[in-house]
Amino acid sequence: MTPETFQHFRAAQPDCALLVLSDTRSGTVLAADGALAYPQEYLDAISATARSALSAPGSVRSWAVFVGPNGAQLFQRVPHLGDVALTCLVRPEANVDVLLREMSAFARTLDPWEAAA
Amino acid sequence: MSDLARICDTLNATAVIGNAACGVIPAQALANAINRTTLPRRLDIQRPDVGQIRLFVRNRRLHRMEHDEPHTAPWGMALSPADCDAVAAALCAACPDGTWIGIGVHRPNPDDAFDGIGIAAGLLLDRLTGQTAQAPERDLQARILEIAGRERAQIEAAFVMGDGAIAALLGDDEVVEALLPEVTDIMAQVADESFALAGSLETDGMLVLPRNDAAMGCHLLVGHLGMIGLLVLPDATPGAARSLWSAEAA
Repeated sequence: MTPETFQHFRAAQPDCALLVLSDTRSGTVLAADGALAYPQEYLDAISATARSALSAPGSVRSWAVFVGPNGAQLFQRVPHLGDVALTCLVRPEANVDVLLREMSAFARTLDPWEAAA
Repeated sequence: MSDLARICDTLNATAVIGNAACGVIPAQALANAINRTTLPRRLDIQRPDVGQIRLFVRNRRLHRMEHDEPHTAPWGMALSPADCDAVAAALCAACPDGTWIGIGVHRPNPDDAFDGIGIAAGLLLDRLTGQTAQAPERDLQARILEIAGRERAQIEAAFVMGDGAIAALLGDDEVVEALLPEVTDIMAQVADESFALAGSLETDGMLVLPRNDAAMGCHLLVGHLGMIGLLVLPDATPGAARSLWSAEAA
């Protein structure tokens, strides 16, 4: 995965305001692309939230969705890289089913260490 | 300086500082002052016979309260919804007639602590005004049961948790018994202060999670004034789960 493919994926999802790829175990943000530039501490907080949302007692979750009054957060674990997760911030009325499917398909193509290099 | 930092600086510079209320004020005014406070603020409650009580408030939640004299819990500790009864009792003990003389709003010092997930203003108001602590539970239960009345086929089981205790609202006995271990783990996890979405879930959010060992369906978790509800939806997608609750809320 290159930074361009990451940006292209977000650009193809009109509801996605921010896309973050992070290593949830170390809390490292591996890649981020958004409509606005966000401070690092905000991205770090998103990584921490992804870690919480995708950690199940005694196991892990493949996905999670949180919907608040101002937007939704979609978390998708990268299946072949256990601790790596995608987070997508979208407007509240976005189609979360379609976005989760797209994120799942995209996650299967990811090699995050290329993005971090 | 980032856009976010600039916006925060502007809000801090223009936010209300001064007296949120003066004269003899009831508990309602105190809860309203907390409910109107989004940025980190220190609310000083004045009362001649007990001196000054300092409340540390952010995002419409009471995070900590301090008093000049040495006190035991809940004074000087990070607060969470579980401390609501103790906080209300401590405030009532400090002010037996239920009124205070003036609330001052100040910017906090840099070293002031806003730790813990805090107590929502509405929950505190319920306790301070003596309204029954059962009200939030009935309300959340009523909402869940109302959905079940319309969409019973979509819901395999439903649970509510308050003060650490879990009760089954819907579901056959065998189903409830089979689901209880998983549900208990999930509800304990999302209610824990260390869970990053605990504060948001308690106030106005909903969380959709996949079911363990199931290819389809999901769990819908909703919060309301310290209570957490969980609906087991065997066939729903995340979008359908959101629509189910949103339609009820609308």
